[in-house]
Amino acid sequence: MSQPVITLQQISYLGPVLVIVLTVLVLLMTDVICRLRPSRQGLSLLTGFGVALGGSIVALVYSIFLWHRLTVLKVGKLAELFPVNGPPRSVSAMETSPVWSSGTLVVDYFAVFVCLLVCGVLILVCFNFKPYLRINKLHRSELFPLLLLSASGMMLLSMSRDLLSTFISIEIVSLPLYVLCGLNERSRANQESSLKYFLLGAFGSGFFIYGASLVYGAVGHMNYAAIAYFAKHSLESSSILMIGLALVGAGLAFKLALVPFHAWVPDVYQGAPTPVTAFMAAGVKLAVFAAALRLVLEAFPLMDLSFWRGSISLLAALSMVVGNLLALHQMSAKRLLAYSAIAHTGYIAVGLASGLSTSATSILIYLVGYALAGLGAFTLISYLAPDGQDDIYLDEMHELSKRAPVSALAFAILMLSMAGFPLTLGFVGKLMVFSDAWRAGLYGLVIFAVLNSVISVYYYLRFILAMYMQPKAPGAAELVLKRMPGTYILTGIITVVLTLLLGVIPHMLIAWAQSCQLAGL
Amino acid sequence: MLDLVWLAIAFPLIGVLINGLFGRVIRSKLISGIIGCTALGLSFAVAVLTWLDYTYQFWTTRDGPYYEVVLWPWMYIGNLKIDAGLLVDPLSIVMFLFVTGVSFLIHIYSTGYMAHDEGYSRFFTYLNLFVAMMLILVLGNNGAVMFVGWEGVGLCSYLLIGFWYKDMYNANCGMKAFVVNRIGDFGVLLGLFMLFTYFGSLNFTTIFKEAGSVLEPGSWIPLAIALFLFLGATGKSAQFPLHIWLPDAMAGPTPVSALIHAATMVTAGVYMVARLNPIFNASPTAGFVVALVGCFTAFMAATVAMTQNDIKKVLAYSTVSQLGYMFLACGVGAYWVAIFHVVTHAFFKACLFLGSGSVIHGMHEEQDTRYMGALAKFMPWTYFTFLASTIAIAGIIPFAGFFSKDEILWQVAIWQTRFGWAPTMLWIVAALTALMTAFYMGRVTWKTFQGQQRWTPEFVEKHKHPHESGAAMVMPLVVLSALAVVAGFLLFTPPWLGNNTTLKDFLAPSTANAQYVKTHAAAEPGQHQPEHELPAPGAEAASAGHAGEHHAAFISLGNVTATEIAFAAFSVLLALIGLLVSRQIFVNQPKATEAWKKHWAPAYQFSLNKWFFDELYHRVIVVPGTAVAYACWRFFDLRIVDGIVNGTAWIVGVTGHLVRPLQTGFVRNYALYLLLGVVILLIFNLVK
Repeated sequence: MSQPVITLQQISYLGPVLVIVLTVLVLLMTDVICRLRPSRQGLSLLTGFGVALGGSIVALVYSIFLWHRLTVLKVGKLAELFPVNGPPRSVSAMETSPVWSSGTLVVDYFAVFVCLLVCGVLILVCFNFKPYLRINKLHRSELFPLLLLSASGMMLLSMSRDLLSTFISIEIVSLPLYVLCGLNERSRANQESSLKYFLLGAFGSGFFIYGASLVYGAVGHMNYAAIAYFAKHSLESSSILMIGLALVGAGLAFKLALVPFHAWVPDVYQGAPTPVTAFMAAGVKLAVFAAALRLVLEAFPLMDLSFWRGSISLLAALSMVVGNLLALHQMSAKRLLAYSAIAHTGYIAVGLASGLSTSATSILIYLVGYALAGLGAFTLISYLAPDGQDDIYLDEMHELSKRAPVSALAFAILMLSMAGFPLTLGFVGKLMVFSDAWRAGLYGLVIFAVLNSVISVYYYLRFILAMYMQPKAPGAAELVLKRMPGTYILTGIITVVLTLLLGVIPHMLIAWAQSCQLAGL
Repeated sequence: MLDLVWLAIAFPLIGVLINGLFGRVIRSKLISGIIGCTALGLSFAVAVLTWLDYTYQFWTTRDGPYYEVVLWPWMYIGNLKIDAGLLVDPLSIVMFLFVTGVSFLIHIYSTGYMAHDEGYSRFFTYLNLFVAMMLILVLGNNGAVMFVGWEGVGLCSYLLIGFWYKDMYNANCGMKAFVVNRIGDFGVLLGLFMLFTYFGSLNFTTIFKEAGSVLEPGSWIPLAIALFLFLGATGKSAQFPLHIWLPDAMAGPTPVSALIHAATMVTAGVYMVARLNPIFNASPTAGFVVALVGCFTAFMAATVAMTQNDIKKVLAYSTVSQLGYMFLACGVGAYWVAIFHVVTHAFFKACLFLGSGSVIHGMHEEQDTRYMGALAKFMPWTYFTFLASTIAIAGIIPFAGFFSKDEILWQVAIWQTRFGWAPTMLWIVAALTALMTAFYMGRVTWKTFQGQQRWTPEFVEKHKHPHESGAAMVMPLVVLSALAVVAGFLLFTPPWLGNNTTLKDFLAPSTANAQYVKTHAAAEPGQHQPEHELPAPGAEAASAGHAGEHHAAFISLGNVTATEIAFAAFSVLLALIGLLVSRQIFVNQPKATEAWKKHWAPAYQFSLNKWFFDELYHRVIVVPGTAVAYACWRFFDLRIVDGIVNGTAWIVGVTGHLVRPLQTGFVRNYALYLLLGVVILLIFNLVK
């Protein structure tokens, strides 16, 4: 046992996570220092924002460095941390020599790419929070450490190759979010959102950990490679493993908000502070899908196809149809986007069900497109929202094209991207995900998905209809348009320009994402 | 020049940028209009240069009909390689030329028509964007790029239909158009997926080259692809059963109706079928469906047009009907005839729409022909151009419509198909439709321009009499009507009348792909098909291997010339009867119509109410659909019952004491859903 458990070099590959965690510590200290005098509250927010932004940018640069390192070294992965090996306990078969070895955490193209995206999301959300706090008169500088902590969990999640580390990462992501949802102690909606998310989240986590323990009971390991090995070599099919995996799947489906695990989404998305909603829509979805991709592509592929493909297809179909049908009637922009988020999860799950080695690429592209559109849309919502409402209703948006033409155009473009309109990134993502599924032979599911995306256009167009083609409703309140804060403008420009640019010239992005292939079928 | 063809798309886009971003800053209608028109003028110039350059290259080198310009790699995903590329070939050049040409004229017209509108620069922004998208559609070198244009023109159409939104009506019409079109897009997407599955590419040239080897003629694969694509075409080109959006689309400004909903966008479906004709050739059944749907739509829309009172509604249904003719031609395999009719139709229908716009302008927003009459005296330019186009659409020799429509009827008559009864029946229906076309076009012309003055008292009081439109509006009318007169015999004449086959020969490499591929395989270079009597389906029949099964066509090919002359004479006769009867009725005996309306009340109502399609769809689709959505909403989402009341009620609801017990109940319910989901998953996994 002379070999160290973990080398310094390996630690350096965890850089982005460590940078973020260090930033959290710095933030906590600066916050304490700034709060020594009550008069410095404004300063504490500003320093908090500055440090958080700085930390995120450093993490982003670090991730780019890691990516560069991967391409220079021409290796698939940089490091496997905390490796475990040996045949699973329960395989009593002929082989006893350790034929597999896998890290609990792995730093590969996929993980680094997700880290990059998380950093990007984090930066835009920080941008969002700065004016949001000022406008809503919230002096809660502790939100920045919480936000970063959650992001560090997302990064770990993309590296996890083990049910236990996945579980811990999910909890690191979720716990700060429960608090963030209830950021405004004066807002009942916030409090309600927080409590609901917490209660149901605990329930969901319970399923996950129970499933994980069953898997451990069946396989003797929690590592994905072990599960795959067991599935391949075990002679008898274990129903305990199946139940365990189904429960693990339920836990993930809860975090992803696949129907029927979706019920919390509309209330939580609508009730939470808008930047937190943006963070949940863009970040959490990204990270949990990364985890689901690892599970499906690295642990499942050798398993009975009908097992996981059937269940994922079922949940995907349900999510698409329920999300879309319920979004049709909504008047609240946040609630509508919450339901559309459920539908989007369904579309992405179609890609998950195809389980090809290219699925990771397609899903990542889709998630980039969705994250951009979601972040931009929620930014505009928090800009347009009347004081104290933190949401905007469709009938308040009438004639917006005349009063705020640039915001209206930006919002329209982002909605078109969500609807999967060509020349936006949303179209590229949808096309890739659906064509994967088509290649995997899931014809019925693809037809259903395309049909659903036809339905979804209806409610995205309702925004455009409201902004461009409807006279002011008789009883509707007049929107008071303030000057747009600088960071909102920046977020808006970044999201809209990237949505269009990557929609027209997605070649580079696709090439990068193609390095991120996981094993798959 | 061929490599610079993208400039034609870039110019309107520059127009969009300038007018869209700086429209408010410019504030000058003159400059906005000049920018919009110049962009299109340049685009048209590019089209002409491309055409000249192409003919030169093609005739000198004969490398093959397809010239591809790859702009940049768009999506390379595994083995799916999609470039942002353009394809220059005879078919796209014909579309390119007439789209830019007609658009240019309509842009000029719009400077006059929209002169008093406050959204002037916005209007030109949308219009330029539309043209750019339309050019992407017709010039794209693969299915995905075509789909970009396909969706783009839909969006512009939607924005322009709702351009005047004083009330909800226009916005709803736009919404209807978009939703119906999306049903079609669903078909296109699935068709493209299938193309990719079987060809491994979406490139048109690849598909043309490999269609012969990949698709087994007569099997279900080409049938499914063709039907999916045709579903898209029915949406975009307003064919039964998705035709309902087009008449409502007339809520937009009239130049938009002329440009988008008559001349260009709605012909995109015809273009797509002609573009992918190898697929349709490989499936005789699909061709039969296309012909049947086209013929039925032509007939149905013509019957509706006979009783409409709104001048634009008549023209709208006339458009649906003429599009039906085009699909009929596609269905019988005469793709070049379909494109020929697309071109001539663009000229006379654009002229008719712009003419109706001029009338509406002159009558100060009156659209109902019942309150018009005797306008010829006051609007002579409009009258004569309108009349010329009416004669053209009715199909009187030597106007443009005669040549294209007569050729369609002829192609139907000589169609060789497994379905022995089809040519006879389709021909009879198509001929009947031709008669009705002449009648309803005569009706609307005479009711508007001849007979007695039936102007409303308010109108007379306010404006005394209508006035002729300005030069900006009249000039395009004159050009278009001149084209409606001469375009026919310049492009094509049948063998007994000079045998001018300019357009047919030009289009042959694109629209007779079956022969093209076949001759390449058999190494027979330079085929020309001078025989008028051997249309494309002959080749299809040979390759399909069903030659033995083919019944004789409607007529035997014995004495072709005499038969053709007889057919042509008959169709001219029908047109004359239609025009003259309608003149007799609506100019000389307008009273008689009232009695007939009563006498034929059920038939009249059936036609007036457009065969009750709107009501049918409402009952069968909209009402149940809404009910399901509403039920889901009640079931899953009780909370938001009050969003209509401005959202404030929601906050009240949350804080209200009454609701709070319900809220705690919700978490429990949500947990129950969760449990339900787990049970579903478990059952699903364990019971196999």
